[in-house]
Amino acid sequence: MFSRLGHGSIEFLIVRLCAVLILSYTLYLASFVFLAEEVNFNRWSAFFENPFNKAFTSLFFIAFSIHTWLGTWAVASDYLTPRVFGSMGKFLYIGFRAVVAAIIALVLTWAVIIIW
Amino acid sequence: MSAAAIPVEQIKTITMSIYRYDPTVDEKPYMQDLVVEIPTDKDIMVLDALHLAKQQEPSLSYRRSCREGVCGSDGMNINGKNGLACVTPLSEVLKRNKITLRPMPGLPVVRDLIVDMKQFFDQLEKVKPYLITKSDSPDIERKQTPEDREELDGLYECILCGCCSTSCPSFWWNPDKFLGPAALLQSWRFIADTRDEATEERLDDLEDAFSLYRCHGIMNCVSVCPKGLNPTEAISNIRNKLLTREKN
Repeated sequence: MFSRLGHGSIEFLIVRLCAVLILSYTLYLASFVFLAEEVNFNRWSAFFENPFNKAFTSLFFIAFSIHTWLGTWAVASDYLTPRVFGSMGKFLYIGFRAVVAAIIALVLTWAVIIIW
Repeated sequence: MSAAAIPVEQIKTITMSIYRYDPTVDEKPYMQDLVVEIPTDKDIMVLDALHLAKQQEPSLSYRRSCREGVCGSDGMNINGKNGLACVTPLSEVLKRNKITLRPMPGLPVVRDLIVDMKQFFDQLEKVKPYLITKSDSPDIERKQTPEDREELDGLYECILCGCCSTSCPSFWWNPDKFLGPAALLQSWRFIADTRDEATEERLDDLEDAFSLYRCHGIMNCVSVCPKGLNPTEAISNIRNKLLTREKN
């Protein structure tokens, strides 16, 4: 309902594109952590001072947000429905979507503040 | 078949735990355990055992017709997995001499093991399961090469028993929006048919977020299909077609 971007194919592709970005960033960050001789505050700060890393990290959070929004929509539209919960279903759905939206907004805002 | 005609030494007893519900009498469904005598000199099918159970309990209701896996009438949930009672050997599903039979999940129960298939057939109707042509009819018939005809193998054999769609959680939660594996298998059967001339329209009808894309590929449909068909592959083929087609 809230997540429709036009049609199913676009959503399908966006979810998978975001998943690839999330996986790529996770591997990239993991390689930094595991390949560095020592991970201390200075190295960690230096890593996030790099403009490429800042951009990649931002991209990760954007992909994470979109993936979460579309993914939880799929879950909510399966389970939080009038079919399952009767007249409460609609309210549960809207409430759940509102909570997810708030968490995503919080995470994104926090990420922007920390990264930039 | 009557157990009474079988020599005693060739009989064993099994317990059939069967879902019972008659909305005109029962307030809610319940499981009834019936002890049934079955022959040991041959491997009977679950449907045969149901017939023996019905001799004890004449009010027991279930659908059946051809009793050889062609009509698709006796789809039911056998020990937690959907299947056709007529082609499921009892020996394969008996556990500690017990078998549990329930109606196919996700559809309203009419009575006992009989479900209302309306939602299932409504979804089938949406995919227009028939050849659509726009060109003039040829004098004799619309021909296909043997290779083109082979593309339909594994698709046309569906008997519409409903075992696949009613084992699919996406169909349980959204039976009015998600078409379900059986309907989507039939959709691909006509998209893949070289004689059909409505491919674009068929694909357009599947572009929303529910009709096709609610399939998450868990393959319950493949696991239960009594004809050994692969609806998940058909759905994947449609999805590939949707994602790679060039817009007009």
